[in-house]
Amino acid sequence: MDEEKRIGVFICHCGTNIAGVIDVKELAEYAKTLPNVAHAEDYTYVCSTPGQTMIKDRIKEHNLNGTVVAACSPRLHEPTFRKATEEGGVNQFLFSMANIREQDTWVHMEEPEKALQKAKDVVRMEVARASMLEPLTPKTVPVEKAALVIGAGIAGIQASLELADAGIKTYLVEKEPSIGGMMSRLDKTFPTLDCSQCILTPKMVDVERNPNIELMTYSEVDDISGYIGNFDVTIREKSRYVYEDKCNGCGKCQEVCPVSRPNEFDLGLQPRKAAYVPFPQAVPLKFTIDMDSCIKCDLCKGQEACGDLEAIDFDKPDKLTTVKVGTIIVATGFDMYDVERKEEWGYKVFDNVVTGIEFERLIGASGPTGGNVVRPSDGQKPKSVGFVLCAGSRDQDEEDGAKPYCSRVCCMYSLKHAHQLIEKIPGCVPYLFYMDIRSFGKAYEEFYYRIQNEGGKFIRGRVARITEDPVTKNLTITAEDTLLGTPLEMEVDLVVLANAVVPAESTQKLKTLLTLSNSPDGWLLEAHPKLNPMSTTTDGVFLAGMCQGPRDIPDVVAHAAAAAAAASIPIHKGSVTLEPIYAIVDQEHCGGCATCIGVCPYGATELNEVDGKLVASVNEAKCKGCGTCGSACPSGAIKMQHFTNEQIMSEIEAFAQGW
Amino acid sequence: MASEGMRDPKHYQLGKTQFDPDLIKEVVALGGKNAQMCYQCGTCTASCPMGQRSGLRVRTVMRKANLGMREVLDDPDLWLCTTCYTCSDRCPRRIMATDAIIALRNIATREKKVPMSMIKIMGAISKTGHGVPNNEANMKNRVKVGLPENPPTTHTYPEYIKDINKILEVTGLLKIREEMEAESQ
Amino acid sequence: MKEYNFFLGCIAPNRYPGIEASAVKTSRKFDIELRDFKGASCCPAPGAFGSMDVNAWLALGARNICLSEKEGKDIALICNGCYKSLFEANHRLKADPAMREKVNSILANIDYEFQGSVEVRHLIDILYNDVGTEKVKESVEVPLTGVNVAIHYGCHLLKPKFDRTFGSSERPRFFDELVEALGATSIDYKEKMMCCGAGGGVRSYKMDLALDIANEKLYNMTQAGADVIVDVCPFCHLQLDRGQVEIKEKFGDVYDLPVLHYNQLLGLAQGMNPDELGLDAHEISVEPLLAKIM
Repeated sequence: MDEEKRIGVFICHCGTNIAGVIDVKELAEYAKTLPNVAHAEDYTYVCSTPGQTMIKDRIKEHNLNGTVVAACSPRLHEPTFRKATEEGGVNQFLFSMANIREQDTWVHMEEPEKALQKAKDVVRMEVARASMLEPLTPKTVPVEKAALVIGAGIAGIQASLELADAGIKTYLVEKEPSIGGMMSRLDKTFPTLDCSQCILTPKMVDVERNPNIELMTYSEVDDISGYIGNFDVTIREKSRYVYEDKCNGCGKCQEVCPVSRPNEFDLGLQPRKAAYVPFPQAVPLKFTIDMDSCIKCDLCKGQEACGDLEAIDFDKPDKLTTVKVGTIIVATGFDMYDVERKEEWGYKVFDNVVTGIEFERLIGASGPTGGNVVRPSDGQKPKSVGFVLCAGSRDQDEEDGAKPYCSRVCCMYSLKHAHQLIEKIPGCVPYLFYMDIRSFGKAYEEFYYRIQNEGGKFIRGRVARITEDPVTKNLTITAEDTLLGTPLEMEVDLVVLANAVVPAESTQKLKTLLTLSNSPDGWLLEAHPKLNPMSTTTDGVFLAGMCQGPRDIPDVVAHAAAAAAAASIPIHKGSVTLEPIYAIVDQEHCGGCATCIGVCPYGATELNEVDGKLVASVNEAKCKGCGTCGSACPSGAIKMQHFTNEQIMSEIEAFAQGW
Repeated sequence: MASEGMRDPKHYQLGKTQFDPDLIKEVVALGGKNAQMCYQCGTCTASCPMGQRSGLRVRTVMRKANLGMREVLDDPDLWLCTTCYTCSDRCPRRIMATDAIIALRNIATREKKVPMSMIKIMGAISKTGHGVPNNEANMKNRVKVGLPENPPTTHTYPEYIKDINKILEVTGLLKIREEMEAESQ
Repeated sequence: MKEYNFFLGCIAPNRYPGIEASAVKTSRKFDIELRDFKGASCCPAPGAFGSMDVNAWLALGARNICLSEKEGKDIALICNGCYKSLFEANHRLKADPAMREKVNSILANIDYEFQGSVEVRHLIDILYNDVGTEKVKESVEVPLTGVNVAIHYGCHLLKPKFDRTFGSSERPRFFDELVEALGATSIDYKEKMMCCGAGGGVRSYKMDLALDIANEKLYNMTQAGADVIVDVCPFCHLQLDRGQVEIKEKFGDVYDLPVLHYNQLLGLAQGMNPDELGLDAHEISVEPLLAKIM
């Protein structure tokens, strides 16, 4: 070190979080005894404005050239204290943080003396490290003025429209042949009873028309590499076996196709052909050939069908496209719980037990029964319908795949279904078996009032089990009316299970590609559940809609708009600042062995010829500073900035000194 | 008027004097796993075969246990549970309601609120090692199918019975039986 | 030859010895030897006894297990109630050190210590998982064609599902498959999975209510066309067999539906004599069933 090191140590009380367990004054006194410490003091909340001002003032007063704050986790306030240090005139990377809260006083509350000793050890270590730190300059990289939205349900549609209208080129990738997601399967939406397709399709059309949106349907993300501002995304456009630019959506191929399969869009309740569009209002209106079912009879290619247009080609391959984007929004939605695993309710065993989403298809005009709710067993209209709320939600039975959380939408859609039955089938009585009615949103409680007023019946008791009459196929529901305090059995014509929403299977692959985590409940993990539900801890990657957790349509739209706003910021700023925590190769000592090339998980190292010798170098933007190459290099030629061997060794030696 | 008038203290004072917060802890400690988590959905009562033909309401028993109403220990219906475990299997909060009932029975037994029919079974075990001991008619049937008159249990090896009684003694059960049989004279 | 210590319980040896004898005889055909288990006692009755003190229940169950541990033999049994007592005691004491310590402190008074060195198996589990339905089918000499069997699984065999190895208790199939392997038909009937009503000490506490549950089952079985009831628990067996006599007395309902333990049905299918299976000791005459088979 050229200069004499003069380090300032600031011990935070954090209210009583730290000061309530250890003697912070004694810790400050101890810090004063450490080598290179020119000043030490304790303070109630160092992260507060006066606290930060204090750091700046002390730097000037004591001519400090390094700072250590002993407080909470660096995940919270490292940026705060780095900024204060920089504003005080000292390079921000000469600041080091000692975590004496999450890793000390919060977990050793019962042993205050030992906690104090541990705090002393940690402060001593961080002072040693701070003595070895070097000033560094953050790197600024340009941000590609484009965004990627993965998933085109209402969340992805909303997010991409907001980004596009803000002038940002947006790639919208959807794995199904059409956009629209789950919302396009719904008949009506609560509480307004708007027709779902009627409010959704205008947005779908906007997406198709928007010059800033490049829509890639029947496509999936194959690979993502890079970092914020500079993501390289490989998208696989799966082959429809149809040339999209030649197909005009006339449907003649569908007419002549002899193969029928259950239509996934209708949950298998209605057939489709092997040449199909999932539903009439599909966007884009381009036909797809399901090659797994196609028998290659060639009828669709014939003169009576596609003939002249020649849009069909059974040999058309998948297309791989690589695009560069600055930010990414994940909007991959949800699946429904496989409620047949709850054998007590007889789903898939009894004909007349259906799920909520199947009910949507039955009551929808474009559904398999043209909007008539009828019993699957005999096509008769039901006169009494039982609704099982919380079917697989609020349930601790993980072995059956049930979920401990509330699915949030089912109370409201069951009320909606009850209303629709009362309206469409005069005399039909809906019975809702519930534990609670969660009608939390705007106009939701009024909707509950309305349905009760219209004749919906509410029985407070969770359905224990359902049996079937083998002759009539009627169902008998067994539950306790807890308000009466009696067990009861009720015979109904049809049962609707409001089954849980669960994280989508298809999101799994994206998690690895984007290094995203789950919350304990299985949904994607947000940056902060209260203050930042639309971001993730991966810079440049944001979340929109159900993929982060159950929510209804208004909340999905708001969440998606929030994600779009957050995703647009780096793009509009034009550049992003990266932490200078990366590897550097000393080319003098590099032997060109390429070990670092093999071990780097981010592809950030490369081998080049310099002055006739093969040496490695590191792409600073791609490097995440993980340290793998630094420890693997047999020549010791790689230095990890801000975490050099000397800096780490000084911490270890400082720790050992206390023993 | 007098301080209560016609108001029934059993109801309007519920909570002031009647809740014992330790009861649920005892129930959990004796095997009623997760009993404190009951959210009163009623799946248990609906699953119970006795609920349809008696006053046994498993959910209400769980409610009283949670609130700490010790009067549940006096409930004769507490002893109607056949321990079929259907409620426990279906409970969405993974509560072993059956084991909670057994725990309440354990607590009631210590307070000598157990039915004499149970005490009699304990008596048979104490005497012979079997809750349902052998008899003359059965011995003949045993021989007919090629078995010895007595099974190779404590019936043939009665020296093991003292061990059984030692266990009954150290757990306090023998004492309860003695006292209850004396009181029933 | 696989050897097990044969845990008998109370009702089988002391009221329905045919169940005991048929188990020994039919098991031999699969190379399984159910040997005499010296010094065993009541399991103790999980409902009736466990209701009074769970620690004493575990300790007495563990005492039985310790006797088998001393001989280094696994235990096989033919009763759901005994299965609950011994399988659960074995399972819990193996998994929970605090509980094991507590029970061992009680057992210390008689100089016993639970080691956790043996397994406890229900014979129907051994037949289904170790022997297999194919071998069972091969051992059949008198196929029970045309016999409608109302299977009664009972409760403690399957529940609580988290403490058992058979999966869901709503619609199991393994017992049905073992009966179908004998050539018989397993019929569906209302409330097939319901309790027999005897357990928990209720049969001795309030016999009327206990029998009302059995009565409902018997009615449903008859409505569905059953020729015979088959169970794997001597207590359910007593409740459904002797219970019919008691039901006739108290309620006036008559079913005359024969009741067999699975091993007795298996013995018949293997060509054994009804008398050597102890069927003549049943309260409800087995003659109508035998007529259908022979």
